[in-house]
Amino acid sequence: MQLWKKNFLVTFMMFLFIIYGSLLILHGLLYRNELEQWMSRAVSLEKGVASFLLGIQTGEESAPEVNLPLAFRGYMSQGVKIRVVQDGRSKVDFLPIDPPNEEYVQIIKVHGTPYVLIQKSLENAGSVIRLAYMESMAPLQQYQQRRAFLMAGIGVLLSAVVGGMLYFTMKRINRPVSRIAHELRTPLTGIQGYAQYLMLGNLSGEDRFFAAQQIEESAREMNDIVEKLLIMGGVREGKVLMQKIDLPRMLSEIQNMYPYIEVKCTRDILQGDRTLVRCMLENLIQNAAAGGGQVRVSADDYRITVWNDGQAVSGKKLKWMNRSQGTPAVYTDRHGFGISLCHDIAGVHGWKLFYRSSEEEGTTAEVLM
Amino acid sequence: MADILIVEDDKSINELIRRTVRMTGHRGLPVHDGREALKAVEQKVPDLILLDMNLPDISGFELLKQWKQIPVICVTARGEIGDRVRGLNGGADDYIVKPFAVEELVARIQAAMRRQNKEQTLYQLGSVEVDTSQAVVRKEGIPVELTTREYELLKVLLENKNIALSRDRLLDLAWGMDYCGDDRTVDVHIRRLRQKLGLEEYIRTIFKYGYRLEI
Repeated sequence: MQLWKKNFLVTFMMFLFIIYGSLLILHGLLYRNELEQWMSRAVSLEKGVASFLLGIQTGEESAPEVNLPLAFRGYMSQGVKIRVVQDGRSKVDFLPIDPPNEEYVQIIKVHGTPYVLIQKSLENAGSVIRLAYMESMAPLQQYQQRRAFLMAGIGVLLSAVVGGMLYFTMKRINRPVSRIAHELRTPLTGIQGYAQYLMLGNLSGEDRFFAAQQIEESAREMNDIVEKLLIMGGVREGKVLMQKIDLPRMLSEIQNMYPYIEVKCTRDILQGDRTLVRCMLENLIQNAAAGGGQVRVSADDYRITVWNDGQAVSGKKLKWMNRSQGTPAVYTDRHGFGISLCHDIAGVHGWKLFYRSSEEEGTTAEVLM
Repeated sequence: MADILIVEDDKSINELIRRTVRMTGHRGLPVHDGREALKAVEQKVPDLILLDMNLPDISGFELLKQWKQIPVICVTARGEIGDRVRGLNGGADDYIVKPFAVEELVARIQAAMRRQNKEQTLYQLGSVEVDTSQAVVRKEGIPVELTTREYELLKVLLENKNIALSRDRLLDLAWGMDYCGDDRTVDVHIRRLRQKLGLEEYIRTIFKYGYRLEI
């Protein structure tokens, strides 16, 4: 497996651990908080029932008897079940089971449903009342389950989005790196090969001069690739210095390098990073020049276009050239990542680079501002 | 002298390979893309093709399929195991990764020529004639007695004519990789060859490096 994919997997697993761990902790804290509130409410209600029971026990023989089952039936609809045993005699018994022990407050399960069970003894007017209060926790449980599903869903969505972004970012970083490493091999071959040729061969003075020339050219090519790598690194880190660029002057300087190109510039000042804009323009013009034929550069308030009337670019290659993620070396200029760099530079300025090509109209690289 | 077609889009590297091929005594025919290569092969079938797998128009793997009967050495920057296996399974006879050593390229070309029995076996150095197919050396028509090592050393120089070889390299090639002797052994044997065959003008000393046979 490629190293960048391994790195992605490790980073993604760590992210999953953090996000789901955090969601679990959050869910746990919220559940604990809500359970405490639920229990407090249940204890309050139980106290209310106990007060009621004490209130009706006046100890007077003439006091009317209260129909406790009828009085407590209303609680049933709220999921509350009560048992009252007075002096050993059952007065009300709506409990579905016998309590397992004498604990004051506990949570028990009946047929899979959790209940809070509160038991206490009351004494009043010489009478001992044993009260058992049991309230269903089904609503709380259902609420917790719904929230757990919601959090899991949020976790999955978040993982998918971040995972996707991480994957494509790492792929995007890796592709230029591997392509650059690959592209460096070509000039390295020239340098190493011609150096060995100089050492090993039985050469004339002309041969030696030619070999030295090739070494120098290959070294310059390597330098060019390294420069592009440094610029690309700076662009991706967002190191952009916005300046007022004298665009006619910049184009005139580039025209000195390519004397046969036509330049028409109706815009005086361009706001941008001078080094990056220069790099982008040089790349576009170099590619146009390599395409052969006439080259025309024009700039106005809305766009900069570089046109050449060389051979039209095939549909497949054109599609790749218009992708800002990068173009395979087989489809592009010598280094393969100059176009990608132009897209990056246009992107950091908030511009858009677009290619179009046909046999009738030639090939145009257009930077829309 | 064999015809070797060089299919490489980078002009500088193409020229380097052509000059290297010339050093081995063969003729290099340069082309710069797949279409040119196909046309060249149609016009005349070369003895060997040196093929860059990353051409601008046609993939090297596609070209390999067209040239099943012609020996091909892939010369490419793609050195991963997967690419090498794919190239060799696709019909290539050998695979060399950029950046390559010129000596390695020369060795692989000669190995390919040997496999086709197209290597040169008869050499003429002034009045000295060497027939490597029969291991016979004649001076002015008269056979000359050489020791095994002297003959092996002469053969290595002939097979790498016009290429400077270091003393270590000569030891490896003529004595074998297992030999642990002093590289002054090479100097001694070179002196003997010069004396026995009168090759002072052909075997040139490369200062602080080794020797080169110049033809």
